[in-house]
Amino acid sequence: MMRWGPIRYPGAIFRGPQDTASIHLTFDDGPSPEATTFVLDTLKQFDAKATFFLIGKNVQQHPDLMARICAEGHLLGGHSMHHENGWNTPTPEYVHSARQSLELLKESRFFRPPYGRIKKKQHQLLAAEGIQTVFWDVLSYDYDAQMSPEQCLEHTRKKTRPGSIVVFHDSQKAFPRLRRILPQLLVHWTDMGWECRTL
Amino acid sequence: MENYKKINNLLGWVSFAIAAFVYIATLEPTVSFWDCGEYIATSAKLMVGHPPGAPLFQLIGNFFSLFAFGDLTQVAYMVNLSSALSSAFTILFLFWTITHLSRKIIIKKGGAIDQKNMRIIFGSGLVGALAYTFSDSFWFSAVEGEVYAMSSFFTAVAFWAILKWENAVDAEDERADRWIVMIAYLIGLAIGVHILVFLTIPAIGMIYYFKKFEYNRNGFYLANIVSVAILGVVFQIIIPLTLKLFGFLEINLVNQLGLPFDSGSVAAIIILAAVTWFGVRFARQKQKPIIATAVLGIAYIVIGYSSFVTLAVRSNANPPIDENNPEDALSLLAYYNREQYGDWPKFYGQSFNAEIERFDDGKPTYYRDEEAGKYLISNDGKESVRKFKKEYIGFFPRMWSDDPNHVRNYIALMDIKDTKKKPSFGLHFKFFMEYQIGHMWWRYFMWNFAGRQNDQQHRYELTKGNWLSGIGFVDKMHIGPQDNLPEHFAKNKARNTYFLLPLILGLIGLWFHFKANWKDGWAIMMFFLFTGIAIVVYTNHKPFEPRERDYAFVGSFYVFAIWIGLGVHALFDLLKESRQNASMALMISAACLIGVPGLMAQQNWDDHDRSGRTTARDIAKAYLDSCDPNAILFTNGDNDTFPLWYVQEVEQYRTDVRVVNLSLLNTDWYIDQMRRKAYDSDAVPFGFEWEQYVQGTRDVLYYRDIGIGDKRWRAEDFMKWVKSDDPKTRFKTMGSKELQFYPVKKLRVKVDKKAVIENKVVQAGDEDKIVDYIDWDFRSNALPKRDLMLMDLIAYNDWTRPIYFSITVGGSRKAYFYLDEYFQLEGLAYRFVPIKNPKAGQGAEFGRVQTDVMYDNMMNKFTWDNMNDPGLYLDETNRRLSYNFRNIFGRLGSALAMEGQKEKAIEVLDHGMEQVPAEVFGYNYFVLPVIEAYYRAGATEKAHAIVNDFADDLDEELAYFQQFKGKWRKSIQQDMQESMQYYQMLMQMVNQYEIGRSGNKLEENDFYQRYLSTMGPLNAQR
Repeated sequence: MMRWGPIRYPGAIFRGPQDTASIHLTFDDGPSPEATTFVLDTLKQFDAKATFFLIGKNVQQHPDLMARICAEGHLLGGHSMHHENGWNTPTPEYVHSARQSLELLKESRFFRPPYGRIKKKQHQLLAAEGIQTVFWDVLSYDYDAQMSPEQCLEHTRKKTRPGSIVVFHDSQKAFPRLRRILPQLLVHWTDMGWECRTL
Repeated sequence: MENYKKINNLLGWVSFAIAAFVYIATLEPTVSFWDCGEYIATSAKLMVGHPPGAPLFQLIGNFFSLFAFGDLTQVAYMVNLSSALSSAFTILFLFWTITHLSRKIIIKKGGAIDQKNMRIIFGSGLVGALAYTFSDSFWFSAVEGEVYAMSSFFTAVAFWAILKWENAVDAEDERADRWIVMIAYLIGLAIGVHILVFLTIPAIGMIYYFKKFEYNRNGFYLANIVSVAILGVVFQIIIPLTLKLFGFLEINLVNQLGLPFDSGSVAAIIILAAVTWFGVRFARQKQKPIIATAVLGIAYIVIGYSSFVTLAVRSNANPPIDENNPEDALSLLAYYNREQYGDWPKFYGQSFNAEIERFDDGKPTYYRDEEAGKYLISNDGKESVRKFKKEYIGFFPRMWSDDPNHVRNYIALMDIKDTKKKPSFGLHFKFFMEYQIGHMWWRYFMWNFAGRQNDQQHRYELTKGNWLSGIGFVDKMHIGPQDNLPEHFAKNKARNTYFLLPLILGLIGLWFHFKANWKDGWAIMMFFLFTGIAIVVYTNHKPFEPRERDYAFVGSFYVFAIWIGLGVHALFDLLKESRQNASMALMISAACLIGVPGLMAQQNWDDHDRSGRTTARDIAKAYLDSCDPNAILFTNGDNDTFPLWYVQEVEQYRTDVRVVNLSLLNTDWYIDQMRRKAYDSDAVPFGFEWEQYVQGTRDVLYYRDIGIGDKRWRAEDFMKWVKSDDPKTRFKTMGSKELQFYPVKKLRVKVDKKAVIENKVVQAGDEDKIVDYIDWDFRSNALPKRDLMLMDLIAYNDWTRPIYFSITVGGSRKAYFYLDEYFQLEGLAYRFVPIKNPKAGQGAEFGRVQTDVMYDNMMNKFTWDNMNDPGLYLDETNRRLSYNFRNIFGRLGSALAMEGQKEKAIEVLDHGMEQVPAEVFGYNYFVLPVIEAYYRAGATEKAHAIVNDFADDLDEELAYFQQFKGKWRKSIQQDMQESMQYYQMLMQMVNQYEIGRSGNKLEENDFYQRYLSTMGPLNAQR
């Protein structure tokens, strides 16, 4: 996405700075009890910091998990209230949902559009409020039930470079693959000497 | 002279024959969109349509429908045929009107009715009549089952009749005034079609004045005032007063004197008859013919108008379509007065942002209580009329609607800064000139006589629905450059250009008419103004109307066609006298005939030819075929309701399905009708009693926080609260009226799994997904009556009747009552199922897809006649509704692909692109789901091909838009952004599916290169 996206979405983040040996892990769609707990435990083992883009509806159901994410030094971002697709959601409704999901998080200014599908107008309106849209350059495909964990692992390992923003999903649906690949990837990146940081 | 009469008759009928041929050749063979379905159904079965009613139209339509001889599929064609013939007769009378006026000019100049003059008179008649035959708006109404064609017919005859009266006066016929009585009768009859015919009255008055009185300036002014006053008297006094008389006597005789029902109506008839008889006798005795004519005129208006009685008669039989249920004089009055729609200001009243000061008492609503033998009050109407603060009230309020959509557009269009203050008169007037006259009349006028850009609905875009002349520099002045038009813009069938020729000829005719015979010119001008500008003033259009309204102004286009005819006369008159000979007359007539009506026919044929088009019928059937037997189908708009009424009522198709229109469900009479059995469909099991939903009771409930807002109630308990009359459910706000409220917004509906499985609500294999209960969080702070009805249905749902919502009900969760998490897409409708859709909230993509059911519906049940035939003309409404198919084919394809049934997915998508092909429908937003589904099904080449074809269109559009420089740039920005947006969406899909995890390099992708070369420079520009 990063090589053509910036043309359309000036000001959005697609990749971090490339001159440091650090990468940025992001987890979308949480919090969900099983997956988020696992992710937090795993990150702690490797002393890795990540960014969590939370769905408002899930935050309302699991405020305790959100508190824990915060407490462990990770960054929070909004991911809309109901995982709306920006292409077919009316702009006022979409912006409202984005704003609401951020309000639940108190101080965050980061927003990730679900599916990466956001209209330019929506992006502009959010930017005008000082909300930073965050895309990614590496997708782990952990949500895709047709992929095997090995394929996900291979793909993500190959694509990640210094500065990369990598997307995972701490959701029930992605969990079968996530639980397999996340520890192995963290081992790999630690070997490479890369540090996992928040945005 | 004998010869003149003969040829005049002959050529009149020739014009008629040409028009009749044209309209029959281009007639829509079945139902059309918008109100036609309702008109055809209510004609075929003599039912009661929407206010203010068209009983005479229905009677005539019913007569025509007999000629289907029992073939139910031909009924719609026959009703449409009544429009075609009405329109052809309009042309006949137009011809005679023009020749009459042209001949008067000759005679006034002392010319003889010789060969050359006859040629020019008949040339004028033919050019004017045929120009109107082939004009855009009139032709549109001539080929469908709507009231406007027949309304034009009455207008034409009424005006022609006053000219016959003129001839009779000239011939010193003592009984000339019987023409005036006939006009009165025609006006009375026409109320049973459409009241537009009233607007001829001022012109008729002026013709009368000029004939009967010696001209002087004061007399002329007075005549204008009196002519307009007569219109006012007929419209605002005679007609409503007659009904009021019936209503007044009915209430008083029945309630006060205890006489039986309808005795008041009988008394009113006797009084009217007596007044007429004594009035005429009095006038005869006193030798006052004017009074006799006036009394007879009023009597004949009332007689003509009596077709409305048929509505009451039919309403008493309780037919399935019985809008507003006008069963007696009282309810008929409310029906005629369109009380359902509310009133709006015309000359003096509130602005859109007016604050309410208080509520005044309105009129009570009565109903007939058979047991009491009296009329009882169902709604006292107390505190129901809004009174606005006087600082918001002013003269000529043109921006008045408080609908949020309209308010937003008032503010945007007029660039209103202080939205709290009353807009000044100047601003109201500016809005009147710019929007109401400019966009809602002048634009339509120019469509007819200059040309038209395309058939897309105009909302101030430079690319949609403007007028267009075809002369480059003229068009450039008002809608920007027209060179290098994208191919798909240029080939829109409704792109018609007449190079201003009809307009110029008409203006010459207008100028000449005033020069040669200003009195007739003035009378015709009154006709023109009242059927044009006066309608604009009266209807007070809001931004934006749901559809283009050109059909309402055909009266003024009719008048202009008269001047087009006289333009021929003018050109001849401009010649040097020595050259004014018979052969020149013929040449001028022929040249005008080719240059004006000929050109219009050539340009307009392809976008007025509705022969072969069956989209409205096919889509209506597809809605019904999306439903299981005995379903309840909720719809919302005109186009997902009226065509369905038509196929059910007339073609007797799927009468087991109950269509429930949500906009009508706020009215008590519609709920009454839903609670009756109709054909094979049992009553809808609404659990309210009549007293609980009658108008004035539970019209709307409000949420009120009493500290239990986060509690979740059982749905049954909530309904008990709603139905309760306990004072603790009531609260007071402004005024003294008590309102009902509800204290929670969270409900739990329990699900009887056994019933769900027994009634096969879910498909085999989905049983384990059935939830134990449905948690229903509706976020609304107010619940109108229809919401209560629906909630009741859901709360007590025993799963025996399938419940569906059409996919065109709305685009938000609120529109679907926040039930969307339990929707299952099965075609053109969502079924309400006790399965929670984990992917709820996907913008407009509601519902889970049940692929087996949907596949069967879309591949086997839906029938496609010929929508994909490029020879067919599909206007914007037809195309827009067909795009829904693309959308659902895409969704079905995606769902199949996700389930791993990739071949089946591709089969579905191929079928979809075959039925809704690019050739006919082009590319737009609704092709995106199809592209995505192809990708998901692994048909990357097919997807990529559509992406490239779509991008071809976008490239052309972007290249075209870039010619808009300077001040034009801002106006085209929105269109340009949209094209760029599509480009980006395509790129995103290419990236996601062609690059993504594949290991392919983005730089090597051909579409990526294309994207860069198009979008790079564009973005750099700004």
